[in-house]
Amino acid sequence: MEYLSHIVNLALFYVALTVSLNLILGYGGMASLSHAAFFCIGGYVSAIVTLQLSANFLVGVALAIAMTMIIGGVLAAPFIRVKEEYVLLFTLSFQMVVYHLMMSMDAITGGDSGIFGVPLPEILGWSPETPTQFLPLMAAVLVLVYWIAFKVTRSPFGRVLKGCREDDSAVSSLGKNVLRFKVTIFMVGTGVAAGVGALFAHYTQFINPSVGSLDASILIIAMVVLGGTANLMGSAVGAILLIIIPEILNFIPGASDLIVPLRGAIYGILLIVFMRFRPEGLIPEYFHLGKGEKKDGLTQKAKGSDETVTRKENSKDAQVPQCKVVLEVSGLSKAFGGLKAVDDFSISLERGKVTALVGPNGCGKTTAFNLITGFLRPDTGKILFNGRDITNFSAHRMPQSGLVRSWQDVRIFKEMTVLDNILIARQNQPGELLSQLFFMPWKVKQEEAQNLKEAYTHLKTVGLLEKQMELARDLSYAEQKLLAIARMLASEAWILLLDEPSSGVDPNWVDHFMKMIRNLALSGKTICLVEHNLEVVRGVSDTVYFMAGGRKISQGSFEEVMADPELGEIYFGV
Amino acid sequence: MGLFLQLLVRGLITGSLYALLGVSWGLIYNTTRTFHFAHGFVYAITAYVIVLAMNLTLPLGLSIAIGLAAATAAGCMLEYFIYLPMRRKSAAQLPIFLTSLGVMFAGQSALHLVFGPDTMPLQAFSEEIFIVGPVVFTNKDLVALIGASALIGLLFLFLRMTKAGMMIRAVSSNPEKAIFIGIDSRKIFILVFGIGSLLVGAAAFLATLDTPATPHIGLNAILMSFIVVFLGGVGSLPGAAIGGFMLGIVESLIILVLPTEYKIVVTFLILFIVILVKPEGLMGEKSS
Repeated sequence: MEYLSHIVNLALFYVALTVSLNLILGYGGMASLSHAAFFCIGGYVSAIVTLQLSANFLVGVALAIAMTMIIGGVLAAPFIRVKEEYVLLFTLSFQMVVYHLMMSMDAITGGDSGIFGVPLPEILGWSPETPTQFLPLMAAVLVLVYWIAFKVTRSPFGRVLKGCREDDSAVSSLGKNVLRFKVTIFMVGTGVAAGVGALFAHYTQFINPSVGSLDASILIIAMVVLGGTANLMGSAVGAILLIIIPEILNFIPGASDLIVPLRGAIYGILLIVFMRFRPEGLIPEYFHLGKGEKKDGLTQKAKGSDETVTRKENSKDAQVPQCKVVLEVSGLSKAFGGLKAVDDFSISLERGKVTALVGPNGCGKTTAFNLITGFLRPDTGKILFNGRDITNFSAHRMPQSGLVRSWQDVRIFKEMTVLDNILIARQNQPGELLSQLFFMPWKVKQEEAQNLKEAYTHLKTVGLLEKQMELARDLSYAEQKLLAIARMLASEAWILLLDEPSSGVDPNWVDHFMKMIRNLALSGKTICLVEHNLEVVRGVSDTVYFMAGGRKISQGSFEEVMADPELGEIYFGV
Repeated sequence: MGLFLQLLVRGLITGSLYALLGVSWGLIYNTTRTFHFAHGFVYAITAYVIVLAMNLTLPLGLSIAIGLAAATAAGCMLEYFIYLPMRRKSAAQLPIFLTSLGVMFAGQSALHLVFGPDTMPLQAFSEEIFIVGPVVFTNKDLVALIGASALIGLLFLFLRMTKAGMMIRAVSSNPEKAIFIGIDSRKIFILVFGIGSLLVGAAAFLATLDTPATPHIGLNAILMSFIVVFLGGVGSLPGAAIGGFMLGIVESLIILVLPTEYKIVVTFLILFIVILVKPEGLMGEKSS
């Protein structure tokens, strides 16, 4: 009986640990190879604190969580900043370092043999002395872990995180600081792992480096992958299966010596088989979609969306451009090596007007876009938005100040629902801050209701309301482009920079796009577009800038620019 | 001073092996952008094959040839049967890495299951000790240093002088454009996996001259491989080579001030500081 309870406890520990790694791996898209190390650090910190200071175990657990989060965040941030692969580099090296330190710092960690006599958990005089007595406590902790995980992932925060997993640049183009989201989720995941590790040390009254080895980290990864990345219920399935299998091996006579390598072989093979043939795991992320079931009862809310939507009046209005020229770019230059991609380029965008950039391929239009939107730093030049200098703003600050771009290659979040694609674009969301999410949930809820209303308006504008619950990857190409426009609208930016809005779209749709762009300008938006289709340029633009060789060659109305015979030569080679 | 020189020479010897590891993995990573964790398994399996062949009293040259052939075959097979189909299904970096991790762990556990956990020493030739002033080294050290450096040199020559080498460089610098000039990147990928695995096999042989094989030797090999690559700079093989030598020397000299256990901590600290100050690595290209 006690043996059975112990196995159940063990399984629950691993479920909690797997959920915490799933936050980092499944939602954050970062493979952490040091999860067991963080678990183990938690155990050691709490063991040392409670033994040396004879503090209550809760103090130990709290300190373990805090310290590990700080270590995790501070050490991981520089690596996360660079690229996805660097996270592997960091976590693997960190795993090795921690393991070696635990083994060699005898005075503090007890070396190979670890620390014995860690006090049992004690809550108001009650101590669970047997595994069976511990079970309810463990179950409660697991519920808490699940609550945190659900709260974090099914929120505006989780939405942005899913976006980052797919496309970092698209997320920053919508005004989100990608690094902050990734580091935060990494810290939350490691914090939970450390808390669980601390509890584990108190439960077994013992901690040694063996639970913090690289093999243990791989085991947790295998659990996440087996259950299904970014599915929290899957984590329970994965963890329980992988705890039970080796326990069964115990009953096979003569196998006991081989348990360790056998386990390793099983985990390894499961990783290969699942990643190769069923990467979504036993329970896929969106297993509930497409079964006629809609998520979170949003359908009802959708029905109510026909009501007139009152526009949200918020502090944003302070930024409503007052002057006629909203964006003033002067003397912008950028060189790549010896090539001057953009050379002394100036443009001014007026409120309610559509400006088109035309020119042959490679003339620097897209580079100019990247410079204006902060994705590239200009070598020289100045960008004034509403009189304010935004030249050196990083990409994610542009939408916050009211300037948003679209992408030539659309870059919607294909693995997210149409609705989420819109919601993610909303600016300054309280729900994107964990502090607000946990301590001011009512504010988040209120904001989210408002967001939904707004999102429905934009979906209606582009005619995608019916498809709100579909995954964006299932839309047609034209619909994806519409979604990208709706996403820009949802950001409530005043200036829209459209990169080839009509390219690759069926001619029947082109008229639709042109009408939409004109309507946007009429509603007061300032629009700048890069476009190859001269019909579109003629149809929508008030001013045309002609670029060649990184420089502006001429400017004026469509007819004026096209009348210049020199331009025809550059563009068409006639 | 004598100790310093001795440590410096030791550092050069381990450094040459790190450099070879780094170059072998870096070639694969730079060209294919596959986070090929199973490189460590290729390393381990080569060591085992050579030791087993020698135990069957095959001549040394033949054993090495069989070992290197096994390494090359293993690398190419991984690319052909695992990575290529996954890439074709447009799998992202992460699933490919996790699969590779699975291969590494299943492989190392299989070695443990079949050959047991014990060490398997390689009796290639008898050891001779040379003493030059204060510095002591063995003929095995010499073989490792010269062998590794020569292979790195040969690789650079191959990449600069041969048509295949130039095609590899074309694919690494711009995979999309390489297609336009008629390069089949799939063939290049297999070629690169073959060469990279051959080199890591050679590194395994040179290292096993001195340190016996165990099921777990691959792990440290892959760890050092990519620390060296990221330290030296992704995209730069000379960077990886220099990073390898540098790391070997620093790791060795650090013993002057710290106990040996802290070697790995120092390695990590170096990596951490480099990434903090210069994220693209010592000689890497800055990506925009």
